[in-house]
Amino acid sequence: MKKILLLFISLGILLAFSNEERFLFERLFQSLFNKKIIKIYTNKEGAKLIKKSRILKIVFTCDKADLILGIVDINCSKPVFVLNYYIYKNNSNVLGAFYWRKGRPQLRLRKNIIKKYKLNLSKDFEDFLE
Amino acid sequence: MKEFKRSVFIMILLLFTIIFSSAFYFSVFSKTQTDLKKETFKYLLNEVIDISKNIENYNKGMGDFKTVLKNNPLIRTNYNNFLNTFITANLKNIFIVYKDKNSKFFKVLADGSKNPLDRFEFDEKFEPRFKNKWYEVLRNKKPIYFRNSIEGIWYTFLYPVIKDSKVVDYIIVIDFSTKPVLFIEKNLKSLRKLFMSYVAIIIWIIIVLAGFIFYDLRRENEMKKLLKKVQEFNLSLQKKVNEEVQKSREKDKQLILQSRLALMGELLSMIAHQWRQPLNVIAGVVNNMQLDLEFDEIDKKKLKEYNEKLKNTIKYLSQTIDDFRKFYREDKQKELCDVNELIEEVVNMIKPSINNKKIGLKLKLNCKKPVKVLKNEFKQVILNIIKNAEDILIEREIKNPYIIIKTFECDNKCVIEINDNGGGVALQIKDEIFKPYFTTKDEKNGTGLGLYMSKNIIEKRLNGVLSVYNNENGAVFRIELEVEDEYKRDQGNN
Repeated sequence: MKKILLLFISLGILLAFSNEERFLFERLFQSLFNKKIIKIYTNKEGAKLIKKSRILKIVFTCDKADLILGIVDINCSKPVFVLNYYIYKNNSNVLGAFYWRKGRPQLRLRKNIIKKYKLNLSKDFEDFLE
Repeated sequence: MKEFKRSVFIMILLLFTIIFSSAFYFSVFSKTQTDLKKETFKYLLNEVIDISKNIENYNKGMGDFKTVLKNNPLIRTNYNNFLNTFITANLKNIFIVYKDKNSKFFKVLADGSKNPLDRFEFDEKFEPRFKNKWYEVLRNKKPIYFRNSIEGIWYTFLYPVIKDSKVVDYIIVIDFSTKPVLFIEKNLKSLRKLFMSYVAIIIWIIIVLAGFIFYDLRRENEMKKLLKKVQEFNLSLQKKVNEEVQKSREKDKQLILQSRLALMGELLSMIAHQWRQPLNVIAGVVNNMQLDLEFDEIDKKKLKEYNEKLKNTIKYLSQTIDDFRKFYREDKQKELCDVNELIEEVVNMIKPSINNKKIGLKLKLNCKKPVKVLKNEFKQVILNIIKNAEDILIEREIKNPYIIIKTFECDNKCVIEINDNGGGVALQIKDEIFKPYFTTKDEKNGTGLGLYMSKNIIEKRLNGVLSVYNNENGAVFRIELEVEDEYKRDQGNN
C-alpha cells in the first residue's frame, strides 16, 4: 500500500514537473524568438516534454524549425537547446540547457550564443545567463 | 413522571459526560499526537544537525577546505565518497555549496551522490529552488530547514559553515526524509479513528439505551394510566353491581309482596272455609236459643251452656283471624323454630279448603331438630307448594288425590318433602318452574311467581335448598334446611 502511494506521488510529481518544464520552455522560447508559435525540431526525449504544448509545435525537418531541442543527428544551423548538463558543458555552440539535479530543475543560457542568433531574452531569464 | 424526569436527567448527564470526556481525551490525544510528531521531527533534525557538525569538524581538519578541494581531484573523489557514507534511506542527498560574493550562482564543492546522472560536478553552477531560504542562510548565518517540493516526504537542511566568524564559507546541504514522522502520524491517525469509532459506538449505545428506557417508561406510564382506568372502571362497576343488587333486593321484596297478595285471594277462600263451620255452630246455637225461648224451656244452665259454646266458637273465629293476620306480618329476624309446628299451622289454615276439595292430607313429621327461619316466609313457601299441589290435583282431576308432607333429618339437615299424586312435573319444564313469571296455570289462577319466590326465600334468605323430583306418583318438592348451629354444638358436646 505504502509503495503504491509512493508510486502515485512520484508520478504526480513527474507530471507536475513535466508541465513545469513545458511552461518553462514555452516562456523561454517565446522570449527568445519573440513569436507566438515556435517550431521545434526535436528527438524523442524533447517530443515527450513538449507534445502537449499549443505554443511549441514539433516539425519534422530542421529547415522549418526555429530551434533544435536535444541532440539530433543532423547538420543544421539552428540554435540548439539541450537537456543534459554534460552535453551543454562540452558543446560551446549550444544555446542553453535544462536538466535536473537532486530534484531541482537547472537552467543554463549562453549569452554569446543568444547574441550570435540575434535572439532576445526577457529580464526574467537574465539570472540564468552565463 | 418523576422517574421519567430523573431518567432523562441521568441520560443527558451521561451523554454530556461522555461527550466532554471524549473531547478532553481527544484534545489530550491531539496534543500528544502533535508533540510526538514534533519530537520525532526534532530527533531527525538533531541527527541531521549532528551529521552536519561532524562534516564541518572533518572539513576543519582539512585546513582551507575549498582550496584543498580545488587543487586536488583525488581528495575531491575521496571526499565525495566520505559524504556518501552518510547517505541512508532517510538521508537522500548530501552536498556542499558555496557562493562567491560577486557570482550570481551557487557552486557545488562536493556531492555524496553515487548516481552519475544526478551527481554535481565540482564547481558546477547550481540554481536552488526556494532561493530566498538560501539567501536567508547567507544573510543570517544560521542553519535553516524547509519543506522541499516533494510534499511532506523530504526536507532540506542548510547548515552554514562560517569563516572567521564573519562570512558563510560554504553550506552543507542535506535532503532528509520525514517518513518516520509520517509513519507515526499515520498510526496515530488510525488510533484516533479507532478512538472516535469507540466514542461513536458508546454514544450510539447510550442513545439506543435511552430510547429503550424512554420507551419502557412511556409504556409503564401508559400501563399506570390503564391500571388507573381499570381501577376506576372496577369502582364504577362495583357501584353499579351494588346498585343492581339493591334493586334486585327491592324487586325481590316487591315480588314477595306481590306473591303474598296473590295468595290473599286463596287465603280469603280459606278463611271462608274456616269460618263456615263455626258460623254454622253459632247459627245452631242461636236457633236452639230461639226455640228454647219460644217453648219457654230456657234456664240458667242451658243459657250458660249456650254462652260457653258461643264464646268458644267466637274465640276460634278470632284465633283464625289472628292466624291469617300473622301470616302477613313481615319477619324482622330469623327465629329458632320447630319446622313441624310451622307446617301444622299452615295445614290448619289450608285444611278446610283441601277437605272441601276431597283431597287427602297426610303428615309424617319426624324432624325434631329446630331450624332458624323467617317464620312467615317459610310458611308462605309451604303454603305455595301445597296450593300448587292442590291446584294440579284438581286440574288433572286425579282420583283419590292426596298430599303427603314429610319431615325428617338427614346429615344434620332438616328435610321437608311435599309429595302429591298429581303425576309429576314434565321433564322439559323441570328447570323452568323456578323461573319468574313461568306458569302452567291460566291467567286468573297463576302469576308465575310462587315457585320463583319460594326458591328465593329458601335459598337466598334461609340458606337452604329447594329442589323438585318426580317419584312414581307425582312431584316431590324437597326443602333442605341447616339445623341450627347451637343445636349442632350442643349435640357435639353431648
